[in-house]
Amino acid sequence: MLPQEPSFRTLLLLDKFKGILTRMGADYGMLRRILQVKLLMDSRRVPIILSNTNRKEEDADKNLFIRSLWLYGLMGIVLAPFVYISDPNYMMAMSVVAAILMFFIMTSMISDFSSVLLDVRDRSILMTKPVDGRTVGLARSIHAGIYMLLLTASLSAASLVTGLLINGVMFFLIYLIELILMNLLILAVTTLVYLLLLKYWDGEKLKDLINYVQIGLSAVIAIGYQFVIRSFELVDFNISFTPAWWQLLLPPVWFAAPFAWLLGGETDPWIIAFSLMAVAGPVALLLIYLRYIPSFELFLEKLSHSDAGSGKERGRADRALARWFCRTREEQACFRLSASMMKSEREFKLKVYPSLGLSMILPYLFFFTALRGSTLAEIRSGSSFYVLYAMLVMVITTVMMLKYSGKPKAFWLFRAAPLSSLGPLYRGTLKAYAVKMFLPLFAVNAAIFLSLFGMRIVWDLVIILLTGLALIPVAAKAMLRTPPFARAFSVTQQKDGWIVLLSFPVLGGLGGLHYASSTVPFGAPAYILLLLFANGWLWTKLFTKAGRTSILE
Amino acid sequence: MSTEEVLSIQDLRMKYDGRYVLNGIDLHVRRGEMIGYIGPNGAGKSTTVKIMLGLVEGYTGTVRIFGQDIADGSVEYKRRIGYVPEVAELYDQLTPAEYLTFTGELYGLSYEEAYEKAERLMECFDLGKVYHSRIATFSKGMRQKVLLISSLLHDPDLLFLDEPLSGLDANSVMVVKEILAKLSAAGTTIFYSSHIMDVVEKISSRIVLLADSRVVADGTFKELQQQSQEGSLEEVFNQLTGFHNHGAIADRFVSIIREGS
Repeated sequence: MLPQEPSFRTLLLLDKFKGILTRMGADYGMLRRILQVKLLMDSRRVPIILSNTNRKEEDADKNLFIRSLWLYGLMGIVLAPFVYISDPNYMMAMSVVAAILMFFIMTSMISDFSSVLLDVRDRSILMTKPVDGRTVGLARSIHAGIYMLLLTASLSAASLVTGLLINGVMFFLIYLIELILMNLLILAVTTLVYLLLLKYWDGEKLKDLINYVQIGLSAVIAIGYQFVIRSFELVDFNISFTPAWWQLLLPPVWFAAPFAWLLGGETDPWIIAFSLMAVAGPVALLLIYLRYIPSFELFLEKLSHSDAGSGKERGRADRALARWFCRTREEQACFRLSASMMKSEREFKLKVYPSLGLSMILPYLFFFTALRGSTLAEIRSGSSFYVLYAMLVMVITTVMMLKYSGKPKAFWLFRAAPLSSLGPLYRGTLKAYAVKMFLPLFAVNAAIFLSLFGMRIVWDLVIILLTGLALIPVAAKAMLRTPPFARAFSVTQQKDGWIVLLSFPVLGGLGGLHYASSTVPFGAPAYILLLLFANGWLWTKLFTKAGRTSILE
Repeated sequence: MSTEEVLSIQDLRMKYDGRYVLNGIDLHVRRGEMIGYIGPNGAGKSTTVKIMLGLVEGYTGTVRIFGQDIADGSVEYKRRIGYVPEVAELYDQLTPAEYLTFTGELYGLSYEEAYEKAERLMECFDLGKVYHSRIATFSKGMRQKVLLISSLLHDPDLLFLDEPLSGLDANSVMVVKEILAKLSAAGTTIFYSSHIMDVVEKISSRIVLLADSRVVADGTFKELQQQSQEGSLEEVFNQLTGFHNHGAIADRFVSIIREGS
């Protein structure tokens, strides 16, 4: 008996669009088959977090991304209150809802599903077969689109239900249609941006460029989001919205307008124009995108080109630093390796650099919300410099990322090399992290804080610095379940958002300890001594026993 | 019909970064020929193959396969081509059963036909037991066998093989060489590119040597021997590509290793 081809409910849904897809120039049978295989593969991706718990992987044909959707569902609850208050001043509230939704979808598109859009493997496997480029390109976009839709569905579930119950069926329907338009817009924009990059650059330079664009976008979006959230604490949602031409450049405003027009009964010509943009914008971009699919497929070839070129010797400074901070030769080597990995591993940069940027900004955001209305002089004499602890969130979230590598299989090297334990690798990596990433960023913020608060806080800064340094090995011990660079990044990687939430009480506690020490005589110097001792102990003793060179596959 | 022209390349040029990677290639291949396609790294071998498979555009000149100009936009000619790439790219989360039925269907086979044929071919390679295991767990040789099967499943008329024997053990190498000889005798045209000169020398009916972006030698092994007055293909290769100092390089290499010990 022949085993049946696996079937996916998504594909049954897709069958309904067979007519449209065929008209777009796709060979539907092929498209469906390609998607089926891609979905099957996604269900096979071994999840990072579960991979070393030795569970039976063979029968766990469940897509991990789908399993992590509930988290997005929780995050989506944030949107419900905005929907609740949206009637009758729709413009403000619904702009915020659209902005938040677009933020989440866009970031996840860029960081998680770019690999789907830019899969070079498809070139040699699919394009050498009698399948035309348009079909392959559409399959790729639909593949990414399926995940976007799932993500959107979980994010918007809470607000959709709220809308249906509070604002009625019309609201619900408009919202639903807009969500689909939003997805099309984001998919088309992302693909077109990649298309432009692919057109003008190639090889490694292109990969770097795409990487920087991704990092930049994620950072801008993450930081911008923080600002939006906080600025809306200041905004009164009942004030009336005044349309202006420049709002035509803000897609979230487009998506808010139909509510105001169709439900709020506003007939300002701008509002109607925005509403039309909500439909025309996505459709226009989609048409442009469809026009260029074949070129996209062809340009992808450039990603697999690599011109070796002539490189310059790099890492002189790292060598000096390694000698300064590491005692043994093995540890120095590991320090240098980690330093260059952090500098040039694209995927690592994509996942880590945006959160580093955010951690730089985070203290100031706390500033603005906590100190609204106080004068500069009040701030200077106050003790709000404790917000610098917020920066230490980065230690916790980014140390965790050190276990990933784009080429985890290269880890065989550490097993083949005559190392008696992996201690040097752990210590070298963490020292490189501390010296190359933590210290420079901390120094910048410390300098700004010093100029703001004056020299009186210099010892406080030392305490925060020492706390941060001590947190590095602790965070590593607690969260690096595998040696550095031994695990693969994965599309369906689960979000570690809850760890950030967990870290806030810990940091709060440390800040409290710091504050307590300042209230007793000689408290600060004693605390510094204690921290110094703790650092010495943690950095030397915590990883001496990390001796097992075997890791579970 | 044994003189039917399967492939014809005329004045193929390809510029990349202002430099010609292919500079006027002319090549005509008849049905059933077994072409050994050789040349130093970076001579343009894989670019030629990629152009013929429609992976790269932007060339000048004409490439006709089975009489069809491949620039005409139709992908139909690919249906009769089989391809083993140099880098063993596979969707390795899949099992061979899944992967092979998938590629089979892309070539127009039915699921049942592909499934059943692939299973028997896997058994021939002693891989019947792992037909339903994931490719990710396979050794290099096993992956190579899956790739070979996927390139042959639809009984192509033209085969592009890039280092098809890499990772195979000696016994499997014998089997595969024999398969290729039989296919070629039965009319399949084979484009065999490799760096292992002994193999190319033995199996090819015609050898095409690419150097500096152009064809520098084209003929049977005997003709190449006479042309360059050398014994083995390896020596012919060295001579035609102007490489003579392997001894000196090796000496220097070893002396560097031995330094200080």
